[in-house]
Amino acid sequence: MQVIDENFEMGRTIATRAYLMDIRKRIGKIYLLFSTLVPVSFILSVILSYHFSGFLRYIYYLKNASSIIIVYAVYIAITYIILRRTRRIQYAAIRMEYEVRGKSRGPFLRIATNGPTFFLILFVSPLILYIYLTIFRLYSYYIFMDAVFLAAIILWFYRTFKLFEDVPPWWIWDWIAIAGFVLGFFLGEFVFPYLYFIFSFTWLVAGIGTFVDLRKIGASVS
Amino acid sequence: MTEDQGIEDLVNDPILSSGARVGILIALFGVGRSTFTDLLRSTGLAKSSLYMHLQVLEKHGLITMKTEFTRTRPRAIVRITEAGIMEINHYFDIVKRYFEERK
Repeated sequence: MQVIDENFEMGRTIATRAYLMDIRKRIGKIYLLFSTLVPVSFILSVILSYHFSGFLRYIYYLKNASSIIIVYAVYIAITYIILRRTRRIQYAAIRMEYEVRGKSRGPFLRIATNGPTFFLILFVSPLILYIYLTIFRLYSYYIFMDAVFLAAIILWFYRTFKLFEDVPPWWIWDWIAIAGFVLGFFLGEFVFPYLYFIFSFTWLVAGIGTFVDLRKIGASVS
Repeated sequence: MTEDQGIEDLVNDPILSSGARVGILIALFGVGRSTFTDLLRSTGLAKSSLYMHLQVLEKHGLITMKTEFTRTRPRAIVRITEAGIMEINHYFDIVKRYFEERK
């Protein structure tokens, strides 16, 4: 019967590796996606301020490009598409680790932050809040909403990682992305708006770095 | 695998007696579909070995392999089938029972 143990363990190792690589790839995509947020907002603000006037300007250009709710809706939708398949990985991991292996399910909160309900809340609530802030012209609060939205994504990934036996170490790119986010938004908000580009640059570097590392891992085993 | 298959039969099962094939199936159970290259990277198996395992799984109708043309080049896409999902769920049930009985 030792064969069953060995086969399951080998299968689990292979599957876990496949899941983690898939999740890493998605994190890389998220980095690349959000690295375009500031440039897109900037370009839109330039286009809209110079090429639209009168009624069109009133509709599409409220105060600055970041207040265009459609931008956020698009980013939230793309993020949803990128992360949607991780729900399936979570399901498989819960089945493999908790149901089959009998691993302790842990505190309620750990489980509560996985699954479809949390996933829905994660992506519907920011959009509702963005719309609320836009309607009431509370533009200065966007910075906090951006932080909340990105923190929710990080929480989603963290919780997914926690389902596995060994939580993999954070990659250097994650730290670069976090540092870039804090620095970029802080300096951009309080010092000089162009410093928002620090956020874009660091997330672009983190995204490219993640894919380069994944390629290296692949090359080392094939 | 049949419904009443026991723990003993798992050892002699033509598909699930291999840890690599179990791994490939569980991986596809989680990700749904994958490219051959990604599977190669994540499984750590040799190319010929992976291909052989995939052929066995495809022969039993648990996965499908298809070459699809992307923007840059053709890619071999591997997908788990409904039968594959049922097979791995059944495998989980048996292994769960095995672990519980061993306790």
